[in-house]
Amino acid sequence: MNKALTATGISYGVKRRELLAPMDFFLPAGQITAVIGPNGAGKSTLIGTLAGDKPLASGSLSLFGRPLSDWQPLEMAQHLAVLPQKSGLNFPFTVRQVIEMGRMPYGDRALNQRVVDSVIQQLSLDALKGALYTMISGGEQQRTQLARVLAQIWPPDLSGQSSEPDASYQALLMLDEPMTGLDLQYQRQLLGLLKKLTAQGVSVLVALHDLNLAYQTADHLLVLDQGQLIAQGTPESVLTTALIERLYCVTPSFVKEPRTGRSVLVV
Amino acid sequence: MIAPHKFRQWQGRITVGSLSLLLLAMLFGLTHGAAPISMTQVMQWVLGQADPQTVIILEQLRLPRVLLALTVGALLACCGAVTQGLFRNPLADPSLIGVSAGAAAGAAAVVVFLNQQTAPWLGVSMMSMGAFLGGVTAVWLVQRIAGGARNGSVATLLLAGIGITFLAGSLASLFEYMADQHALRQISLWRMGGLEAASYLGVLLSAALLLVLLVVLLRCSEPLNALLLGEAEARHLGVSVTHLKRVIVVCVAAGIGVCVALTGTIAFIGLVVPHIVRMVVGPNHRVLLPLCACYGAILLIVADLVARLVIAPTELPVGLVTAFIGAPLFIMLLRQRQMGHWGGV
Repeated sequence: MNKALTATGISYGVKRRELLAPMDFFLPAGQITAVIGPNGAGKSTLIGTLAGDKPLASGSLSLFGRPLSDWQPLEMAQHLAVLPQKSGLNFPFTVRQVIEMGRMPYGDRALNQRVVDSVIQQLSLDALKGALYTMISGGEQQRTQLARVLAQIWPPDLSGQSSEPDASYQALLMLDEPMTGLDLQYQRQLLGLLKKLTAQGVSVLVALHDLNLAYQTADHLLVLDQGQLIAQGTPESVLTTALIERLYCVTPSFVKEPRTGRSVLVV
Repeated sequence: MIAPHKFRQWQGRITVGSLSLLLLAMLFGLTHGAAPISMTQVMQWVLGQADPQTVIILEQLRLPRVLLALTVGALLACCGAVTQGLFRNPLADPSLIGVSAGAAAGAAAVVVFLNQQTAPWLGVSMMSMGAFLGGVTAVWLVQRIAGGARNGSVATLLLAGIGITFLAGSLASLFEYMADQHALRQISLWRMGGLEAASYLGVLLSAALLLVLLVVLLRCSEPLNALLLGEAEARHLGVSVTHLKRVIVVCVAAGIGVCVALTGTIAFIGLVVPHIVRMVVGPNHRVLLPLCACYGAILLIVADLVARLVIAPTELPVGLVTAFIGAPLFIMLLRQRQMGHWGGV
């Protein structure tokens, strides 16, 4: 299996306190990996560590088979996009200007404009694109930041180009709680879009707190508890009644959804 | 605010309008003062046909003063704009990194400890040198303290700036305590800022610096925009954030250091001008910085004009005028911001 990112023995701590115990895992390329775990389990810390925002206390990371330290900043920006949990932009850029910043690592202006148009359309931001970021609601700001991050690694095939598929294209998208503040409608839209992106070869790492959402959408799960990686694998193999009871102190049940016949997690 | 996609069609008009305003302000700066000079006389001087007395007033007194107001005003406003970007706060001010307090302490030290008869070096007074050295030292210390902490985040920089500002403030107070009446008066006048010591050397120095700063900062206008998103966000967009922050701090230290050395502390231009310009054209640095330079220059030229005229033939310190214009303007802006105008800038 191709690996988008491989973590070998990585750990992270502040002073003597260990926030992430040494762990090994990989993110399968072209799939959605979800990080789940209760509040304070270390989901954001893990994403921050993988994204290079927090220095590793030990271990090593490799992105698409190359050590992280080998990557130049610009080249890295063309292959890895990160949506932080919270963004504090206090300046009145328009929504479109914010999204355009996602194309900063690329020089081709015409292509950049096409990508931005395409992302705006995919995220239904057309009506908002001229609005000032500081004047829109929290959920709308979240969608704008999402659009910016998506624009940064938008696959060439999705920008309405007729050119032949780019075989060298590979990208990793890290999203920290992207559903926060989003309506059901936009949550669905985002999930659909993530599936579409993975079909184009994008690898996705997403921190989720909604277990059912993780169960339904992820191809691969990483389960964190108190800074420890306690389980990893497919949702069906990982999300057992025992694990959910241990993590959240509630007893779940798996119910067959009548319309699709798939099982749904009810807690 | 002008929508960015409409900006292109407005760009020409804004450029022409702003430059005309600047020229007009300069013209008023030349014609008004203790001895009135008419527009016709200015025209004659431009054509080289003015009488010797007018030539002396214009060339020796008013022109260097207007030009210095132009360069210093532009520098202050540009430094203000990038400081607000660095701190990701539209209400930040260049003095936050300690440069103004350090300069004040440096100037006070020179006044108190050096013989006032010391000859100026290359036409730059010892007090200016002291102010510049004080300002740069303060920023260097702030940078050292903030850079020592791992990651050296902007928050650390801000706190280090506050610490050094307090330290420099206490030092300045100590020097003032040791000063005699004459020196005390000199320090206090310097604090209020003034352009009366304008010389062509100062103009040349500040103009060269302004040019360098504009070129350097405009070249990194895109990274500056990205920095407004956040440090981590900018890094993920491929920006070398540590390098960018260092560039900003060096630019601001040099810019404000030279301004303070040449004119003393002039308040509010660095805060108010970027704020107002941002309201009209938005926060994009490529557009913001040149316009800040232009309107900072206009504001300081006009403020100096007011300083010369209100109690003519004597003058008010220009720093007082900018504060008197700036503070009410600023409060008005805050009120409008509360009422939700201007896109919550």
